Order: sequence, then C-alpha cells, then structure tokens
Amino acid sequence: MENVQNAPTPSKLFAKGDILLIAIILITALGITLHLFSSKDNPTVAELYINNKLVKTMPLTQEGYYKFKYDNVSFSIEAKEGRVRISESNCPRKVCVHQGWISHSGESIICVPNKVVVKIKGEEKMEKGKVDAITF
Amino acid sequence: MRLPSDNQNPNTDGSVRIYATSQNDSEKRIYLISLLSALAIVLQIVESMIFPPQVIWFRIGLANCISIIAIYLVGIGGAIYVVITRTVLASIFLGTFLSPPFVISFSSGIVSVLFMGIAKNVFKTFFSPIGISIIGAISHNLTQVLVVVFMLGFSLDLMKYLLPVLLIGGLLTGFITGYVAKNVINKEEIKKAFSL
Repeated sequence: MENVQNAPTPSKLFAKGDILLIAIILITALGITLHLFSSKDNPTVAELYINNKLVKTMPLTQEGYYKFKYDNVSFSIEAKEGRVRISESNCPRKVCVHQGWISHSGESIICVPNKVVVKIKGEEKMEKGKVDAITF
Repeated sequence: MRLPSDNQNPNTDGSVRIYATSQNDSEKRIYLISLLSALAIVLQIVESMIFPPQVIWFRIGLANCISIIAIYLVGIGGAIYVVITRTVLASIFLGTFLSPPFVISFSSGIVSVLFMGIAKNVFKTFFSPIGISIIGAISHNLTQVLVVVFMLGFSLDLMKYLLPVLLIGGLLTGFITGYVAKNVINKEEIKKAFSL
C-alpha cells in the first residue's frame, strides 16, 4: 500500500514538520502561561463572613487593621496593597493564620473553629443555576 | 505475528491468517479494520483500569495509537470506522455507554482522527507519525474541553487557564503514542503483512 511506503524511515526520530509543530506548541503554551501570570485582576474589596453572615466589607486599596472580639473568639485581619490576611487568631491550629496573604479574586481564608470566612470579592465566572460537574 | 508469507504451517488460525487468505481487497480492508478495532478496544479498557476513575480526564491515549496506525494502514475512512467501533464497544464493556464520558471520548475521538487524517493527507511526509500523533492528541484534548464546556454551560473563559496544560499534556502523550505507532508502522513485517 502506498501509504505505508510514504512513512519516513525509522532512522530519523522527527520529520521536519514535527520539530516545527513542537516548537509552535511550546511557544504558544509558554506565551499563554506568561500572559496568565502577568495579567493580574485587581480585587478591591474583601468580605468578612462570620457564621455565614456578611459582617464587614474591607477595602483593599488602603491599609487597614481590623480587630474582632466576641464570646470566646478573637482574631484580627490585616489588609494592604490589594491583599488580605488573618494576622492573629485564637483558634487551636491556626490554619487561617498560616495560610498567609491572599490576593486573587475568589480566594478565601476559612477559619473553621471560629466560623470565620474572609473572601476576596470578584466577578462571578460561572453562571448561576446551571448544572455543575457534581450532578454527573 | 504470523505473516502471509510463512506458508510452512498453513493450519494456524488468527486474524492475520484470515486476512492473508482472503483474496478480495475490500475484504482484506474489513479484516484489517476489525483487527485494529479489537486491539483498540483492549487498549482502551486496559488503560481505563490503569488510571483511577478520579483522573478520568487524563489518559496517555494508548487507544489513540491504533487510530494513527489505522490512518496509515487503512486511510482516514477506515480509521473513523475503527474509532466508532472502539468508543462504542469499549464503553459498552466498561458500562459507560451514552454517559458523559462516552460522549466526550466519542466526539473527541472522531475529531482527532479527522485532524490527523487531514494533516497526513495534506502534508504527506512533512509530519512523521509522531507529529500526526501530537496533532491528534492536542485536538482530542481541545475537543474534550469544548464538549465539557458545552455540556456543563461553563463560560469559555475557563478554557484559557487549561490551554497550557492541554497543549503540553497533548505534546507529551502525543509523543508517546506517536513513537509507538511510528515503530509499528515502520516494522518490515507489518509493511509486508498489511500491504493491500
């Protein structure tokens, strides 16, 4: 069959086109990656939820230090330069403190023992009310 | 593998034997297509056992290897037959027939074969089977994500985050399957046995 004879000899690993193709793909992938890393979204507001209720919205454009103390819970939130963190907390394992700064919209710090969520507000990427992957 | 030339033991059975004894060219083609389909089904099922179900979206694409071989041996039309048989039968054996994984693998399988076949027919020897395989793997990945996006109603925005992963992943898996396919296609025995 002529197709089989068309196949290049096994001595060469790549044909000319292969190298071109691989180069194009690598450059494209690299370009997209760089583009994604360089383009930053600028989140402006972080939201604090306690017990699933929105308690406070904190602007990220200016520096801010917020202390909260109620019942047995005490923690403090620090916001500056477009990022936010929980700087102190009285929860036992301090997962929220160790998570450090968050700066991308959609990211969140969750402190389970204190029932505290700090979330950076961003545009909704997914349309609401549609099926999600769990349904399958 | 038994060859049509080894006439010293003509009583042996097997697809290749049937293939060799058939006189008609279109009959030979059908035998070859069914042989390749059987191989592809086995590879697909084995591969689904190697990877756990949590990483259902990641495959080396061993069955894709057979698609490339089919394109070289029976042409693009035959390769599409092989892909349809492979996806339908393998999904029936695995119990995923008409479920989302089946829809994904069916559509992306056909699209990738179309891309590979067109690339091979248009560019001839410009691409080796490795290049053809990379084209197939990447088009397979992209179709897969497009189908998922279409089925779940995500915005296409999400795709740009996946693109680098899909491209690099397709490159690696495409290279592996292409390398295997290339060595199979270039085997003297295969050339002799399956020259129509």
